[in-house]
Amino acid sequence: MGTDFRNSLGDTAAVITIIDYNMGNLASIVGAFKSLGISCRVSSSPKDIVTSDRIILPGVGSFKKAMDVIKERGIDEALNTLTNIHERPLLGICLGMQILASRGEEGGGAQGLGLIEGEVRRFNLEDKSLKIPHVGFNEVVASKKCKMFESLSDSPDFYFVHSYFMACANREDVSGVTTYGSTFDTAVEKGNIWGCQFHPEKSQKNGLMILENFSRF
Amino acid sequence: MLKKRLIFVLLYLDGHFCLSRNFSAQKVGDLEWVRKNYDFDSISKNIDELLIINIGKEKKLTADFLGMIESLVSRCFIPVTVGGGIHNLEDAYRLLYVGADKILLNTCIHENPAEVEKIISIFGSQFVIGAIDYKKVEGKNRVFTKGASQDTGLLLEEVISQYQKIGVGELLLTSIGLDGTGQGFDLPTIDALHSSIKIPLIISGGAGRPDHFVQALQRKHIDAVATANLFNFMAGGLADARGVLISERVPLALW
Repeated sequence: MGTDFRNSLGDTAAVITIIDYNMGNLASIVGAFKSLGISCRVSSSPKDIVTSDRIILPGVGSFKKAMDVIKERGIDEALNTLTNIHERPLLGICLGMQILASRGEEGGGAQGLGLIEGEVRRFNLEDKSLKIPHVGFNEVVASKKCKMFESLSDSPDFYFVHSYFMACANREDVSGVTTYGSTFDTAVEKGNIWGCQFHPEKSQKNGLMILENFSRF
Repeated sequence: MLKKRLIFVLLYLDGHFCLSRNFSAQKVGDLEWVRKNYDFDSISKNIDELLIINIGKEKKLTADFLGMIESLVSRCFIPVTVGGGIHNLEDAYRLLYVGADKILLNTCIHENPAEVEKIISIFGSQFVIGAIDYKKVEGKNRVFTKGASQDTGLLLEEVISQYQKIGVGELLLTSIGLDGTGQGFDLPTIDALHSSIKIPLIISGGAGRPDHFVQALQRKHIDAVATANLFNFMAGGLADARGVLISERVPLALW
């Protein structure tokens, strides 16, 4: 038992794949897992995705561009197979969480992966002294008992940098909310599908705990 | 609520890190030396972001510089911004690849605004911090580029407006006159023009003591402070500064 089964589906000691679709800072995520002693690999191939134990979907940039690249490379189908058929865990980070949604309004509108019902919108804050992008550390309050925030304090600080946010259609999908002007959804946990608007790989100890919780459940 | 940020700046010159005074640099030591003598790991746990600026004459991204970034990023789990000698989209991709979260642009915005717009359209405005270095010339704040060596002839207010129009995500305003003096930030200038700033504002130039940070961050219009002052904040210095800020009820991240 053990190392022989490293690459077979279902082995809990197996592979976390970080998807490389040219839109994300992968080095920090890899570094974070490395410091936790958790092995991971980086790949852009749908085949690697489908045979992974768990997936990290990072993302920096535009919703529309991300979806264009993902569809073009067949990553959307691979993700669907992995999460719906094989029911393996997926963690979307920042733009990676946003593209889990049904659609995003940026740049005229684009369809998302549709794994979590909801829409991605631009901030439109009443208090005009609050600046966009929302950048810096802010508190995430867990909105339900969930695996994502296990071992963390009540309202831990995480690093955010974004101008758009995801508005979830179903409150049961939401695992965390944050206040900046108004309160909005900043973490989702729907069974094996997780997402965080903040960057766990940039949030010191708190963030590393999220990654550890993801790798374990 | 959104917390204020304490940003540490590392000035990199040909393999060494430096101290700066009025933008004139003095080499202090290489990465290993900084790690040992300034307890870099402890620094990284007491700041909210790290900013690394390449102040070398070459003004381009060298393999050494990129390698150093990669090495630093692997040890600290906070946002890292990289600046100095970034000219084009390809440079932006190279930095993202080695682990930079944001890039700091200055001269490039003046010399090639179209390229900057391209970078912003691909990576988003939050990927770009616009840096403005200024000093008083004949009673008015004028903007300098190329490491404070070139007078653009433009006024600070004009450049702030120009940068916001191009769509950078944040502004870093640095007082050349106060840089490295430890006398405190140029709060009068910032207080006078803050209403024209609609995006997150980081100020730097002059930090010497924790209460400089307190005065700055107690202002609603200042979102973050940055310091490159290695000496004043070595080893436990930054932890102390953070402690003072928290005890003065400045909202800062806790972990």
